[in-house]
Amino acid sequence: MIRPEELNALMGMSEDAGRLLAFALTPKARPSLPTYAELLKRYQSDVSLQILTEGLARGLGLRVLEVGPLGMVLGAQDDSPFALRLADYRQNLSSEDRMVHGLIQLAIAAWCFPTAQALEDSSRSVITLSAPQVVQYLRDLALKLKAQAEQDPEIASPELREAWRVVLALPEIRETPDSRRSAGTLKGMVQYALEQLEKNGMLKRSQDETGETYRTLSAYRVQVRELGALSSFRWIQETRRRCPDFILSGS
Amino acid sequence: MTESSPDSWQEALTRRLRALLRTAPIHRLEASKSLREGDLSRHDLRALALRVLDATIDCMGLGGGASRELLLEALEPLIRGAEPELAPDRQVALANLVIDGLLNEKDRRQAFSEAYASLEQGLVVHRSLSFHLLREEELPDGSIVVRATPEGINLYTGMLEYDVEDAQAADEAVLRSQLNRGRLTQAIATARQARLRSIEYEQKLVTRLRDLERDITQVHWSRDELPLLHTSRLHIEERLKLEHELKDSIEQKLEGAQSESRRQLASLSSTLDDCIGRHLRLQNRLIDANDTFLREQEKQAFRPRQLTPLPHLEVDVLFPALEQPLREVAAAADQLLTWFQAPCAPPVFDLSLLADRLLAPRRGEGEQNVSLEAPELELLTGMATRFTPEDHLETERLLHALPADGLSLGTLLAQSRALEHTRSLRHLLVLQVLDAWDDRPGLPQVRSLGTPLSDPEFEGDDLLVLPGRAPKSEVLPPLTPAPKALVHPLSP
Repeated sequence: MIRPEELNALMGMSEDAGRLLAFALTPKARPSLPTYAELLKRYQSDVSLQILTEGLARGLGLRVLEVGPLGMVLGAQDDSPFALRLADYRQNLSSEDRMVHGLIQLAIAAWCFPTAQALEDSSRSVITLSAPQVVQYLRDLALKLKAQAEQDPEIASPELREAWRVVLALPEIRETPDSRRSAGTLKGMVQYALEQLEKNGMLKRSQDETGETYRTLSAYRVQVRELGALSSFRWIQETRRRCPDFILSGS
Repeated sequence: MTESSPDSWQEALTRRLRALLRTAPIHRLEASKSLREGDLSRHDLRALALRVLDATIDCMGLGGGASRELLLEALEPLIRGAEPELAPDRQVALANLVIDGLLNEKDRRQAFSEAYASLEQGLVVHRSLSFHLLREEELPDGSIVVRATPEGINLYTGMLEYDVEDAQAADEAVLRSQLNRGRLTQAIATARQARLRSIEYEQKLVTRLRDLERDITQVHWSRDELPLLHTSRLHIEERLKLEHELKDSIEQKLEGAQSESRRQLASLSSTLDDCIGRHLRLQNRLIDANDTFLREQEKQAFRPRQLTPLPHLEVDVLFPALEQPLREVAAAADQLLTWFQAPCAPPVFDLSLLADRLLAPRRGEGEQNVSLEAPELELLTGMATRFTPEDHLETERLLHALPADGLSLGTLLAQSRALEHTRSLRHLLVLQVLDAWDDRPGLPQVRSLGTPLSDPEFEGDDLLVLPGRAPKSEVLPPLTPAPKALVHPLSP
């Protein structure tokens, strides 16, 4: 039987846990907000609030990746209602477009943190990047693979083409008559991904004359380190096990 | 300045060599300026680099860091002084070049790495010195500022081979002597130097404590950290004691001082207050360090640790992913988004909120100082058509002349090119073929060939165009979906 004062305390703490998660899910919320700062400080010293917040997060399909002076960083499970889906990200995508949009997420992370040491070295938290840099990076890797492939294989179906061929077949840039970028080009897709990352509080756009340079925030490193890196590594290992013939050497 | 402890010449040589190596990035910046775009011969990039360090350290004294805008402002007088006619955008580009050079932007902000040889036990051993001079850091309010590392501060203050603790003690001794002898101008310069030292020491300690908070397994608390904290506490207590003594001495001198001396003594007092404040904050942090460690230990001990080491994203994940078939990577696209993008609250349609917004009274517009010019309009006498009647006739002729087994769109376009038709006509031809996709009687029949179209002006799927069927009186077949990849023109 819970006493009324214990119930009140529990309700108050639940409210605080919910508020903390709400701050973490709001990209523009920063720990400079007094309420957020106070909740973060309490979270770090109050075990009950920690347990309640983490339980609430788990119920919502979220995981607390890190809590620190720069805020709380959450990651979503695959089936979480808060997970960003391709259908919400971009609509009416062909199979090729889906592949490229997914690959671009990986390419941006790899460009910023190419090695395990780079991921672990939090003193390098702020990395600058731009769409042309990521495009060049992805194309360079694809060209390396092209050079390794001895000949174009006869592919029965377009779905079996290697991802690097699709990347190289995409035009890099295409100007539209009113100077907007074209969404069907590699640069257009990368730029879109960077804009989404900025919208979700992972990157910050620089105030330079081009407006096309971004800087990573610490939340992005945490996201990649605590969730993206290992999950994607496990996925690629599983895929290689299922598709050994596609481990290239002129196949 | 004499060395505090008796080093062998080998140790002193290595220490001085390492100190010298930390200036290498600045010299490289200057040496490579002839390879840069534009003529930079009138600018000394070393001076600009030192000014960046100076402005950055100055801002760090206030507890934050320097924004890019502030650094650009700090460099402007030097750049303008060397080349007054330089365009503003070139000034900004030059300033960014220097700042990015100190951040090691070209190596994606990794530490500078300088190889050197040191003499150890009679053998020459090749080592590498890694260091940063500047870093960009995120602040709790989301802004990003530039901060100097202890190596950067050390380089700037010029005492490259001495520990910051020894340098602080030396500065205070010199300051006391100058104050006693009434050399106030020199004392002010020494006090500023002492302030820089205190900033450097703060950075050194704060970095160490931050490493502890990040991962306690990287530190051996009782063996390494406790003795260091004890030494640091003693050092700070001694600094505070001496600084208070200096302040007392200044206050005594203020009583009988003349106006110019009063101003100088006030400036000295203010600089000392800054150092005292910084040392007091550090002292509090050190006092709490043990509790912080215990708290972090409790927190981190129960944090689930990954048994698998982190992969190298480029070599272990991205490169193999590029080798995989399209369908595998496409199938994982949703997951890749979830793993690499932040979770976001799904937007929820709120009818009452929408109604409120739509019914809200219109905001009054302020006075507009913009003069609106009436646009020049002309009456259109007829609709402009995209394609000429000749284009329509010619494409109709091409489509009626199809053989029984049809022709591919690529072949049709090649024929049109061979007949020297205009690009506009070929565009109309493509549109008419696409229009025929939904199989209406009277129009050509169009099927997908499943291969890409090979044409210099258009891209997409290649299509087989067959002669049209005669119109029938029965119900038209249902619409079939359009080709997956539309045929669309490449750049004009």
